Amino acid sequence: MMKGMLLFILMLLSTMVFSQEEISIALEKAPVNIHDTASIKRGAVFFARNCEMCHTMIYLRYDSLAIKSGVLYSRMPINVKTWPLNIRPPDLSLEASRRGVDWIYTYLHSFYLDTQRPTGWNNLLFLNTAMANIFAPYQGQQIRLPLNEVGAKIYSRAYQWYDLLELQTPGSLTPEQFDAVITDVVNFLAYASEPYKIDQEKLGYWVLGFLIILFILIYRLKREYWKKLEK
Amino acid sequence: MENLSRKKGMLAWINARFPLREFLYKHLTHYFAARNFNFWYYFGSFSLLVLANQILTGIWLTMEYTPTATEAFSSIQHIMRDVRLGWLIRLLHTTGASAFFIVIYLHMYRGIIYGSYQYPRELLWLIGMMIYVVLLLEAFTGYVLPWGQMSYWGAEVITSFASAVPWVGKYIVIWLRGDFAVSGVTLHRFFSLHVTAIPLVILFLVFIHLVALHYVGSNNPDGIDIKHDRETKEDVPFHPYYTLKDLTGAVLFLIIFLSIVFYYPGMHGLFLEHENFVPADPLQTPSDISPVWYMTPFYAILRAVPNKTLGLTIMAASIALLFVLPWLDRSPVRSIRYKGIYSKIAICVLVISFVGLGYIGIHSVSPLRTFLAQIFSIGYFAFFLTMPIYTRFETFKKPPEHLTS
Amino acid sequence: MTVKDAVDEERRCFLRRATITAGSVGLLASSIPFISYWLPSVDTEAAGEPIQVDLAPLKPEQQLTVVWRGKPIWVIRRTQWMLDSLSKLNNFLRDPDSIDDQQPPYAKNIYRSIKPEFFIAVGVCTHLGCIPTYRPDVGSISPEWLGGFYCPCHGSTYDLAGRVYKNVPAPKNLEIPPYGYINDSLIIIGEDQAPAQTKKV
Repeated sequence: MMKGMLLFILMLLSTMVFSQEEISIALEKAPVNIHDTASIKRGAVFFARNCEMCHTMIYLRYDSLAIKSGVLYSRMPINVKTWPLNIRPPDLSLEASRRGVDWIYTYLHSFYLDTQRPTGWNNLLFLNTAMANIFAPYQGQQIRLPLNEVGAKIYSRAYQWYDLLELQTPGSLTPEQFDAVITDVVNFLAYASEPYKIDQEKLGYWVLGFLIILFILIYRLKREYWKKLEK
Repeated sequence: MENLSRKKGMLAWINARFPLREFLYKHLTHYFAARNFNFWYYFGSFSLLVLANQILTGIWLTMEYTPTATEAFSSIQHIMRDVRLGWLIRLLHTTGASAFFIVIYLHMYRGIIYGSYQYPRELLWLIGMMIYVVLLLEAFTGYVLPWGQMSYWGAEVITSFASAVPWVGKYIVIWLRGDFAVSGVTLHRFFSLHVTAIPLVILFLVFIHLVALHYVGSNNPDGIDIKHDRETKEDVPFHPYYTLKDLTGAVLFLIIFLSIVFYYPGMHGLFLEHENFVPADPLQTPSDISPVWYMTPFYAILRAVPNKTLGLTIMAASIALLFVLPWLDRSPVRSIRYKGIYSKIAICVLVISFVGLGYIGIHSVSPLRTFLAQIFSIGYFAFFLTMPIYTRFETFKKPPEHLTS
Repeated sequence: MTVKDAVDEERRCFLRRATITAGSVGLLASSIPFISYWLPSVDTEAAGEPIQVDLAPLKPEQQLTVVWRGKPIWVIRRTQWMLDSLSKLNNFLRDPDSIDDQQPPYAKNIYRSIKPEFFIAVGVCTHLGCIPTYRPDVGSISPEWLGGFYCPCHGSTYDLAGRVYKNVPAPKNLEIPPYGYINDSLIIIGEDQAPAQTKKV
């Protein structure tokens, strides 16, 4: 028990020196609901106002929900050639399929102040990200806690982003309001990856329902014929 | 009654010019099969069903897909989003590809446990193995077509296998790719192979597979030769008994298959790999390259061997061994039901090794996984290489005179 | 045959029919995605959206050709003389009163247009699909020619309202597309009324 504690403290001390190293954190479960069309629309409006100046969504060009919410192909930075830090912001049409909604939800919560970065910001999930923290006005400004302040409280489970970050300056939204906004955004991104999903589920019920009926009929027919063989 | 005689008239016209009646007689109503076919016997006809699905959905996809490096990825998004019900056709095709391999592996397993590769069905087994290898090529070329990160880098890795050939390997790789690295040139020729050349080969092989089967007749779970006469009633005409039974099974198969298509087509990154949602970038390799799950057992064997040429040779051998299975099995009985304890243990070892290798192949490299992959590789090879010994010398049970149900 | 056999036969027959019916319904339903796949996709429909045309730059007798849904659409500014010539030709035409359904209701008049001055038509010959030439010059095709369109493929002729002459291969008057006036000098082709947002030519 004592040896364990000693080992643990030594580990903590060693991590103090490298306070900006990548720590593997658990992903927070994003409370997305693709059936909530109102949420998706709010997310689209937020995207049009805050994200579309840098991120394209080229595969939503003809999507009616996107167009109605203001996410317009004509306003996307498709032909912009030069970007800060020479890194092009990725197209987000399929990001939810690529990384998963939980990853994105956690990522959008995990920005913190870092004066050593050119943007002034860093991110727990994507270390040294080139993305500026456009959420700062809404979420507020977070700082990263040194590990020795964190470790003792929660060594029994994996780190969550909120274990490692602390809100230093509040933004225009309370944490709950900010969570709701980010849920809307992630909902929209999930929709953008698979806009056909609701039709897919609905059609699935009909198809499987029909097949079950067909199965009952054909199984009984098969039994009728095979029964004869017992004789 | 008028319609009936007109129909009979039409049939008579055809039958005078084409062996339709003889064909139906010989291959359906009077093709006899053992009456005790069980669960393992569904997968041959399921393979045909999935093949038909792949061809039909594949033809439709080709109508809207563009096989160039700049347009391929977008054309697939076009199908998923802009073409009406295009997502359904595409997901039927991707799920069908994985379903094809599940079904084929189970079909091969049936062949292994019931000794369907033994005399007189060695050629049937060989043709089947050819179908399997060609199917792997079809799956590989098909996976390149979406031109995502995995498509590109999978093509890069697999085409560089050819560099293992001594002296000329480097040039073969360039010849295969048509360019100095995998590019739109490679994509375009793989498109032609995937859509035209290989499907024609598959159709031909499936045809002769069925010809070979019908020539010698089907095996059965007891592995015994049955008499085809009315007295013993051990067999039943394929139509209507097995047409109906296979159709019933097919409906159940469709329920499971379509549940996946409509509710879980990505299968947690197994059927639709996450990294393939990113367009191909020749200047950035993804952190974990792995082939799709159905190739991972062989990929795991490759990674388990620390030497490049040796690894490729051993990987090739692991597939080649399947071809010579009929000549490795020295047992006088066909079916696992009557083979000795060593055969039974060996099959367990085979299944555990193969599945274990597959699991390891999906995940990234680690010392523990490499070690386990080596153990499982040994298990896999042991199944084949020791078979001439244990099948010859084990005590087996005498198979019954008549079919058990 | 025993009673039980008879019942069995009946049940088997019913099951067979029911299963075949259900199976056929399933097969038919499964053809739906293959058929819908061929419908114009969302981007194709977007490319076929109505277009706007500015009439102000058009001089009298001038012909402007725009493309809508892959077909040439003519916009011609007719003079008063051209309009007066139309009533003289009724006896020479196959369908002078535009009985055939080749135009929207608002173009079912002698001028075959909303406003007489501007003629808008689909520039495709109703015979076999060639694009007729615009021949406003009097006496050019024949001594009695008062102006119109001449199709070089098989010799069909139309007057300056697109009405087809008798004794030519083409069976019908030129088609008039749906169109409307947004204001006095701006028309939209492809739609009867002007909507909020459209592409400008």
